This record gives sequence, structure tokens and C-alpha cells, in this order.
Amino acid sequence: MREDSSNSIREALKSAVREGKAPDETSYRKLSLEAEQALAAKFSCSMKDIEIIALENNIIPERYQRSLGTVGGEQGQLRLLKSCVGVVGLGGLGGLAGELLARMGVGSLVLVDGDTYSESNLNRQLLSSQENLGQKKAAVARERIKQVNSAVEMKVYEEYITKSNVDDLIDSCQVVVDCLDNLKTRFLLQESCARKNAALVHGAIAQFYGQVTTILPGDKGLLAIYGAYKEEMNKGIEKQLGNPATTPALVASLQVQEVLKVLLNKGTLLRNRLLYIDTLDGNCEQVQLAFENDK
Amino acid sequence: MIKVEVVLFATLRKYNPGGESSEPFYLEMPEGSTIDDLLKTLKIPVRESKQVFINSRRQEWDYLLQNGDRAAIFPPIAGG
Repeated sequence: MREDSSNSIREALKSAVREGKAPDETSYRKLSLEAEQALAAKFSCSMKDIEIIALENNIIPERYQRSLGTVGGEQGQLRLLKSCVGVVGLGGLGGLAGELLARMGVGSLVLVDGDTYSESNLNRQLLSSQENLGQKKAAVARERIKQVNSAVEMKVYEEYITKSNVDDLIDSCQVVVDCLDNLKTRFLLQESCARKNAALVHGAIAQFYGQVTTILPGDKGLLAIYGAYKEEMNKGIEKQLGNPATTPALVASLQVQEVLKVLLNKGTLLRNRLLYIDTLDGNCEQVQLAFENDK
Repeated sequence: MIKVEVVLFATLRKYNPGGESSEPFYLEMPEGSTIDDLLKTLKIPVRESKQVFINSRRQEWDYLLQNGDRAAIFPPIAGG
């Protein structure tokens, strides 16, 4: 954005700002969604541009007000808006993960899935509905995210990842969320993230069970969980047991928390640790995936 | 003999000799036993137990069990 445009927007923001009251009664300078939309139209720029300039001037887009305590104030929100995250696989895990990332205001999303919705998805895939059966999951996710947060910029790929396209598809991502449903492409994605220097947040589910880990470039990650990939182990016990409505939501939420922690440099990542969740017994087990003396 | 602590996760709980449970239990094995021997003792089919972690580290089937080892056995999950 040109400096003179930014200056004009800053001036226009002054009259668009209203006083807001947080739940603890403290005052803040707020920018409503309606005002954001009007400014974006007036200056022919994106909503994201408006939000960035607002936050840089301690003006809070009202839509993020309740997140600021979690993300670390305006600076944290700015960092999210300037980040790019990939969601690969838009089924049970990815449909929700994409929406949660959009609600948190991650400014750029790359959405990848070649599949279409079918009736057997309706029990658990958040974005599936009786009306969109047969439609591409990636196209549905794009429309949903536009409705939820139109400041989010998206690259949407209605295709499956393959060895030959994966590096290009995730090229601009700092973090990728592994929401796939088979090990073959999960391993492809891990290899690609290592080449592209992107963090990978892995999640998988089966019936009452789920697992999450965060893999940074060079980590063993999936190799330490599953061993070297072999064709016969492409699926896990979900093939026999299926998946309910609940475990995808649980695991996708944990994955998105990991993404936020990576982007915001907060907390302790589930790095080299696999969190294995057994909701049937209400137990979690942490498995160490690498040790200090590992090469 | 060596004593090994075993935890069976998720669907593998049905192989707990004391009755279906994911509570840890102890098992005595002859010295020189491997993970493969442990799975055979518990009658866990290999196809159901792709992931065995000894003291939180993934090990292969020929790993020699040591006295006091903790074996966590998981079925693989990969759904999304």
C-alpha cells in the first residue's frame, strides 16, 4: 500500500473510531465491521489493509476485541493478520480448523482439498450440509470463511496434494495444518514442510481417540510416530471404527491452538511430543518423539 | 525374569490380561524377551499394534526389553 493512501486511511479512521467498553469496563478505541467495510470501499483496498492500519494505530477492530487477551494485544493480532497458514484436507479436521483460523484473524489462508461432500460426511464435517452434498469441500470452505471473516485472503486449491504439486501449494505458508486422512499424503506434506521451512501441526483421529503433535523442519515427526511409511499402513483403526462428530472438533481445536502458539511464539509447543487423547477413559498420554541425544 | 510395565491404549485395552482396561499393569517376561515376544504373550495381532513406545520412545519389534521398561502400545490412528 502506498504511503499517501495509508495516511489518508489513518485520517479517515479518526472519524470512524468509536469508544468501546471491554467487559472489565476499560475503554478502547473500536472500529466496527460496518466502518471497516466503508473504508475498504472508499479507498479501494482490502479489509485486511484497513485492519492492519487500525491496529498499528491502537484502534481495535471490534471483531477481535475478545481475542486480544489471548493473542497478546494489538501486536499479537497484527502478527496473526500478517501470517499465512495452510490447511491441507478440509474434512472433519480441516473444515473446522480453517474456520477457527479465520475467526482468530489469521490474514492469509491456503485451503487444499480435491474432495466433494457426500452424505457420510454429515455426521462430523462441520462445513457439510444437506444442501452442499456433491460440492467441492474447498469451494464450500472459501464461501464459509468469506462469511465469517472477509478480511482473510485465501488461496483455494480444489485438488489433492501430490508429490509434484505440494511444494507449490504450500509455498507461502509459515505453518501448515495436517488435516489429511491418510498416511501417504501426510508423509508427503511433512517432507514438503521441511523443504519449505514451514512448521507442520499434525492431527489424526479415530472414534474416541485423537492425537496432535507439532513438527518443525528437521524433526522426525511422523517417522517417530509411525516408523517409515509403508503402503499397507496407509490408514489406521478409523477404517474399522469410523469417526464421530466430537473427536474432529477436539483435535482440530488443539491443532489451531498449536498454530497460534507457533505464530505468536507463546507457550510450549507439542514439539517432539505426541499428545494421544483417549476420550473413552478421559486419559491423555504424552509420548516423547525425540530426545536430547538423538541425532 | 524381568518385570515390564505395560499400558494398552484405545482399542488394544481388550488385550489386558486382567480384563478390558487401559490401566497400566506389570508383566514378568524371561530375560532376552523382545517387543515381538511381549505382543505374542498378550496375544495382540501385529496388524493392530504398529506403534510400541518403550519409555516414551518408539522401538522396533526386535528391541530387547529391560527390567523396569514401560511399554505403551497404541493402535495407529490416521483419520481426518
